Amino acid sequence: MTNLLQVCDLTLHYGKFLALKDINIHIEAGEIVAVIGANGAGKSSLIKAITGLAPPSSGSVLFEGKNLTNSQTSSVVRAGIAVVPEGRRIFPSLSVEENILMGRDVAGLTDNSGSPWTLERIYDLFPVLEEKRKLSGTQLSGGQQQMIAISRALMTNPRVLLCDEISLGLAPTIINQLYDQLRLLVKEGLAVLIVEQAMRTALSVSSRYYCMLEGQISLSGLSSDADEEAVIRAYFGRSV
Amino acid sequence: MTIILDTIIQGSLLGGLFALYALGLSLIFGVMRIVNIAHGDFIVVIAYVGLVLMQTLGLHPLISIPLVIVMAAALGWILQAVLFDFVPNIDPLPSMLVAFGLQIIIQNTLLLGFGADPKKLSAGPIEVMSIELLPDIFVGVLPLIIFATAIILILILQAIIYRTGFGRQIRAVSDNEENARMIGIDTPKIFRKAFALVLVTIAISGLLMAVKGNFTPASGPTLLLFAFEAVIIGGMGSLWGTLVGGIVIGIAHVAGAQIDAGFQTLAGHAVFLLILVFYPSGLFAKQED
Repeated sequence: MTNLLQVCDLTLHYGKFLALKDINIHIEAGEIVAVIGANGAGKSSLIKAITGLAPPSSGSVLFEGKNLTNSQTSSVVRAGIAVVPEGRRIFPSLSVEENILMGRDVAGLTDNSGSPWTLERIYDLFPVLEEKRKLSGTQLSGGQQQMIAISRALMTNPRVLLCDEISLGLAPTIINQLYDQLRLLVKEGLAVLIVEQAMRTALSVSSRYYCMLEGQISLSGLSSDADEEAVIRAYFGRSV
Repeated sequence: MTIILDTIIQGSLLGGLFALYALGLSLIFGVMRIVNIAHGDFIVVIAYVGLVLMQTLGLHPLISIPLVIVMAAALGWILQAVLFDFVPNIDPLPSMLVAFGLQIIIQNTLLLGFGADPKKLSAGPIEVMSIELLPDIFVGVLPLIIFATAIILILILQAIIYRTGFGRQIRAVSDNEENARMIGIDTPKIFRKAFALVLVTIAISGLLMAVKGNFTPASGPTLLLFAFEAVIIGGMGSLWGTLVGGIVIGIAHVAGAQIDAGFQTLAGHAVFLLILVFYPSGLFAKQED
């Protein structure tokens, strides 16, 4: 059986610096998988390698059996992998609604493409965005901007959602609200890969986890079975 | 009184032509951060294309507009794909130097092919037709057509930029190119389409310029200057502002010409400097956050 998204023996260099070494991860439809690790462990590099922003030195990225290694980000998104980037990356010149519609634009979809993702459905998911849809995207609070970034990614009608540090800088209640919505989407068959520094949050929302340390996977397993001490060792490279 | 009104009306109509020169420049700088020094020379190239079409196929310059638009759009796409795609855009300097090089190549190639004599495209009787807009105020049909074209073109460009997915992507790229690429916008494709769109505006302005007055291989920099002044007076990122900028310079030209023929262009530049002193970011600058 082929995995939905599979990263095989991925190695990535920035010049001479080794950012990722022999990474193997996979994710299936209907699960949340967490990639945890400290700052600089290589989590964001992994997202960049999958989405084509940083071409890997060796290894491959397979999506639904297709080889996406070295593809342009725009092709990766069109194939069905959407990214909620770190720092949200909302465009100030665009209104909230236009920022959301951008997802449909980049995926090459239109009103009549028959995508299950419509503005109505987004506004059902995040009603606050409908009230503020005419405002500039960056006039909203951090949590609301994160909702825009997630909505924009959903509008590409993805099979896999890559979320880079979505809890960063947000209040715990907002984080819970965002993850509650993601859990609902996963029940409908979406695969969500979350990249988090916040270890406990990540373990509590995911079914499986990979812990990264210095560009390598130091530990992986089922989140429910995770032994906190072992994870902390794998996270920091030593006991704390 | 009539003379003041006449100056304003004739100047405004002339401003429509300046605005046409400037629309493409406003787009290319606003979106792609390319300071296209060769903008005026592109306009001149189009004028010579119109000349060749008229001499070889006998095409009336206004009839040839659709054909030239298609050719220009293709040229824009190709220029971006084979040239500007490879120019690093970390800062505006490299692309400015490339455009500077293009300018030298264009001017000298045209000089080699057509000589330095002024040329003009003849549009026939329409050039001298005029109507009485107000009592004792006559306006030429051609300047009216040019002004109307500028307004229609702005309406179309506004619709493209603010009502289509392509326009949304243009604005996103212009906000932050790196972020645009990160969320999956095909930025090279957006650049090519945008450059094609810029060349469409150049095609229209080039043919109308060639019908309105004389041109030589060296006319480009003067056109570029008018275009830059219109864009800066209007404020970056505002197409209607660009039209107003064009009108301001147009009125200054006509008013200057009333005083002395040699004062015409100088008056335009003087008004530009004055406005720059009091409104350094233009009259209708896009609000920055």
